[in-house]
Amino acid sequence: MTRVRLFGEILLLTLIMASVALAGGFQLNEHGASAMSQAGAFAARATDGSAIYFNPAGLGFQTTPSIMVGATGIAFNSSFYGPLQLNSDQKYEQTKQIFTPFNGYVVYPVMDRLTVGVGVNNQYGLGTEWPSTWPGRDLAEKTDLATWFFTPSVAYRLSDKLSVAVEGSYVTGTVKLTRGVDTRGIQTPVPVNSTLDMSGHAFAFGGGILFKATSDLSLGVSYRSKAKVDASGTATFTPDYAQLSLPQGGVTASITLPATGFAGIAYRLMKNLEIEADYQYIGWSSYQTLAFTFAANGSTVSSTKDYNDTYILRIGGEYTMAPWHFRAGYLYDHTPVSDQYSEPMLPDANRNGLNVGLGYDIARNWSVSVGYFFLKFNDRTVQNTAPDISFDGTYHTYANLFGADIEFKF
Amino acid sequence: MKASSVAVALLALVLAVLIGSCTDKAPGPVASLGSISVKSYVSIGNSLTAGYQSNGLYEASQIYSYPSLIARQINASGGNVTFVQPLWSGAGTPMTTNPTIASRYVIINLVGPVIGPAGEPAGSLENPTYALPYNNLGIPGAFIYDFLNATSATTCYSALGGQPNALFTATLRGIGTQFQQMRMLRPDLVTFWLGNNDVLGYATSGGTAPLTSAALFGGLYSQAMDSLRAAVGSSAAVVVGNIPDVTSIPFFRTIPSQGLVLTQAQATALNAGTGGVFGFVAGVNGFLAMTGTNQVKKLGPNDYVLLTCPQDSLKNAGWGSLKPIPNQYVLDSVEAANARAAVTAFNGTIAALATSHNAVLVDINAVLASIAANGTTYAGQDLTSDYVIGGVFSLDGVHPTSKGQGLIANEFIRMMNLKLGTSLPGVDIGSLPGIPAPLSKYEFAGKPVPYYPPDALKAMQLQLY
Repeated sequence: MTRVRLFGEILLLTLIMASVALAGGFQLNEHGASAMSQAGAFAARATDGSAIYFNPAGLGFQTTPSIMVGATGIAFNSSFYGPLQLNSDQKYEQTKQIFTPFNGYVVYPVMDRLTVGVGVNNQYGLGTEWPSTWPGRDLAEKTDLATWFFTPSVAYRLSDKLSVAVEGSYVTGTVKLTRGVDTRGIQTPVPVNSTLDMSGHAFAFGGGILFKATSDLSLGVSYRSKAKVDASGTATFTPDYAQLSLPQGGVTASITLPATGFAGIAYRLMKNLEIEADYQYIGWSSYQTLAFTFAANGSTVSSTKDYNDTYILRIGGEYTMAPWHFRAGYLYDHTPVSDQYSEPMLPDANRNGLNVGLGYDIARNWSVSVGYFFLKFNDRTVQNTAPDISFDGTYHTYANLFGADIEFKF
Repeated sequence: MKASSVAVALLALVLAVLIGSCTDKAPGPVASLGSISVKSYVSIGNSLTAGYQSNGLYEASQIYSYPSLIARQINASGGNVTFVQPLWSGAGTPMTTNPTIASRYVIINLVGPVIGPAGEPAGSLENPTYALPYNNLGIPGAFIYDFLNATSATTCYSALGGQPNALFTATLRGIGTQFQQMRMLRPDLVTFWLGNNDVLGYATSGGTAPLTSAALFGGLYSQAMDSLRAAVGSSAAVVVGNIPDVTSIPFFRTIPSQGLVLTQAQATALNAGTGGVFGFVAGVNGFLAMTGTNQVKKLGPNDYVLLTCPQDSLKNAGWGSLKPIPNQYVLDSVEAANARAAVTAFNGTIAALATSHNAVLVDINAVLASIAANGTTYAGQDLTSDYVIGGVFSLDGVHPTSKGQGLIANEFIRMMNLKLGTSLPGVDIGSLPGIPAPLSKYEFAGKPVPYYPPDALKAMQLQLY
């Protein structure tokens, strides 16, 4: 019998889990069916409750109390072809999931020039789910992220042409990550999976300006700060082989949701037709590394994300034939993720989106809006992914989004 | 403009985009055999080809032998080859000293850890009456000489040196040499990886077993290639593997040659006892060992203590300090240089003969050297040359695990794709098993009960997320 002592105590277990699900793909900009139908080019008009998201200064021109409630159904379809490391073109398909971000806004003019509002929406969210036996199982299996933003806003109309606003958001978020654990050379009787279930909260601040330069031309800008979410929760490893000393229990991480801002210009081309073009900035460079700290052994493990600041270009418009409103738009969304750090937990890519929608004024007080948004990710072939990812291949993703809102004016 | 016409126009636009965008693509290579046709595949080799693992040959290891994995990938790409191996049931092949007990090593206790044969009953050959030669003609212990010459335990190369090898008789079954049996199967694909034992046997015996001379190796390899190419014809695909640097494996890398840690008092005493020639100091020192030329040497960074060196003797019996480590447990720097020179010479021969015989050369030496130096990562999983936990080498410290076999298969496949025009997918390394650890030997109420104290793997460091 050979009795061997491992010099250097080298029994080493790696569970390289590269990232939390959070990125361009997880920022949601669909917070009102009317705005969505116009590709989210809305900051220079901001004529309904979703102004609280796109440009709170729009509230300053809203002089009747209103309530708007709606939701968006998001159906993702995503596949991976590869990995190229294995000279493979095998197709792996994500489980189809439907996400339904909610939006609700209350707008109330408290005095002549002052309007307040409160918004509730999910500004970051979604999830991915890959087959549990697929080759990338140690990179991503199931990931879910949800955030709730509660946003009180105050807008003040300085003149008939100019409104300014400030707002603050209380943010709560939950994230749940599940994936395989690489037990290195050791074969466990049952493969070990890990689940991190975490939640946290944060605050964000923002504001906006809306300027109606002429009766046909308006300009809007808005900004929302980044929000640092200090999340904590539980790490669960199953099966829990005591010998592996897996850090069951408390886990903490800090995730910074990026700052974002809109700049838009809207123009009335003819009596019934308004169009708008927006530039949205997203400060994703706030997301450079992601570190998890496990209470059980105090270990901290971080991985590089190296996201870039990015932008979305939006153009949309509305044609009104009372009581109908026809809306359409197009957007281009530039990915914050470099090839090197592309991974299946978040298969991101540059995207093109096409939007259409319809509004109908049911009565003097009631209106409904529905919208459809087709979002196509460019097929993205990544090579030379970072060493701790080492998973090259092509991601093919598209999504169908359906939105509906109902608005009641008092 | 009518409302309905606007709506129809928008709808048409959306439909056009949907139809244009949603068609699935198939990027990258499509798995195929390209222009070559594989109807019969034969692998020639030694223990590495047989799928020998953790000091034994057993079905659970053989099914992941690299030739078996290659055959699997060929069949996954439109091929239809039958690949039959001489499978050993249960715990596999027996010890040479006790035919009823399996020779394979298992992790007996992760504390320590304690690794070795666990007294498992030996298995038997499951398919000895298979009518044709086995497609996997890898025979543990085969030297380059054996390809054309060995037919049985008593005619193999090691038998000439007094060590008959029963696996030759078991695998070849009296119907000819590896070469003859290969020819019977009329292969259109042959993988050929022999020569490792011509240097490995020397190295793992601490330089006490003979090293095949470069001249003899060259002659034998040349004969082998001539015969092989003549037998299979010019159109068959022949793929040959070269010899890895033997000193890169954990067998030589796990016990440090400079592992003698002394106090000042111990160092002073040792210096006094040895006439001061070794210059022991407080802290880390090289072990004392006998060299191949019967000299006592204080080991340096270019000397290697073998994994088989009894650890208890090092720790408790004064081996390496009061008493030099015996020669057979040490590959000293001269012997290591001999082994490396042999590898270099053999690989020069293999490369030249591969070219002249129109064979695809697989540089396994480069692959394992790279893993030994830097490890490798795939889809978030790390593989290194570390003993037990590295994932590449099995418990004997010499032979690959199933994951290691997968790495080798993928290198063969990569070169075949490059040189033969095939487009075979590689093996998903992560799906191949590692070394089984007895983490839940007993069950209580359906739940696994830890077999070892919870601090067994305390030293494991975690890298999460």
